[in-house]
Amino acid sequence: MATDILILTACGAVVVWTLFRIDWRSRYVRYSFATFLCILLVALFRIPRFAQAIDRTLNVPDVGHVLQYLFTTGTAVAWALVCLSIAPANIQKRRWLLALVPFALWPF
Amino acid sequence: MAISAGSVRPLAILALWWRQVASGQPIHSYFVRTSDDSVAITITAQLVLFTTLIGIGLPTMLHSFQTETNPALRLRLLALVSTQVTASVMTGVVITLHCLILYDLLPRDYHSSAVTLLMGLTAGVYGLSVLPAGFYNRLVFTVRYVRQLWQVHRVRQLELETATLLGHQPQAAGIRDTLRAPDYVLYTLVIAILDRRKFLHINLHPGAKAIAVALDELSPQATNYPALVRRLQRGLARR
Repeated sequence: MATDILILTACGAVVVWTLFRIDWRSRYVRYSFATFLCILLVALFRIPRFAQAIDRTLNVPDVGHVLQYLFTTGTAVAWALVCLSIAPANIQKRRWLLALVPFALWPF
Repeated sequence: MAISAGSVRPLAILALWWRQVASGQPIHSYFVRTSDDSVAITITAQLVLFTTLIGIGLPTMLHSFQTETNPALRLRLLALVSTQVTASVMTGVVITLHCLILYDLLPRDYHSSAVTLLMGLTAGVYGLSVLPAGFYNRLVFTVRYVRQLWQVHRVRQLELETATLLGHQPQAAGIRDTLRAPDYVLYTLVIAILDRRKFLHINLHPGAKAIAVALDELSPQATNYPALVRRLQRGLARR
């Protein structure tokens, strides 16, 4: 819980700080920003009180956990795109790994 | 295909979760956090993250680290490589623990402090990697400065030794000069030692002879100043 709040605070600070300085033309920077945003949301939904508040508000069981799942997957995708934007040709060939993500998301 | 095959069971459970949600079951009668679908959701998400980290993130960062020559950028990339490693270990541990929970080999409310520790560590090293370029430049400068001070200290010892053996006046190198321009002081000390080579040969003291012979061995390296300094810094260890 304490770690989640620490991550939440740190990522929140980075997201707010970069929001006003970000160069949206750079793909690398855009994907890095998305990675931080996703980590921020994962940390947010990992806080039980917050996740349960979302569950109760929407009256859907465990929706906070599912949102955490979605943003974890989002973190993976955004981070993969960050890496692929600077990766050499032999690692670029592994882009197909991203094609597996929709299989993990299909119930939604 | 490892992911799609591995996630068949979690996906089936996710579908069941969706059906229960659609049935409008009230939240208070649904024990969510430790149910099978909850555990399966975590496994699927962590599998995606783990595959991405191992398949794309780690090789990319390792390649960048190996090809980069700028010390400041290398430090930043080292932080990113550490992030990949700690995050991979963390997701691996989470997947293993949740698989054990899913198959009832661990209690449903099992909590591992190692995961929390790894998560904090991952966040910490990732945070380090996004610090501004100025921080890394200053860090490299500081490391280089401290290393030069250490080199001055070691070479100074050798210079004092040669001065004592020959009865010469030691090279003047005040603390203020050393702190202000350690590279210059180091250079004057190296030159002072090399200048005494001839006198050390003439001197009858066995210690002076040993240093003179060791200094003679250095001559082929004279064009490589950093190597010369390193050798002197080690106090001509092989003499």
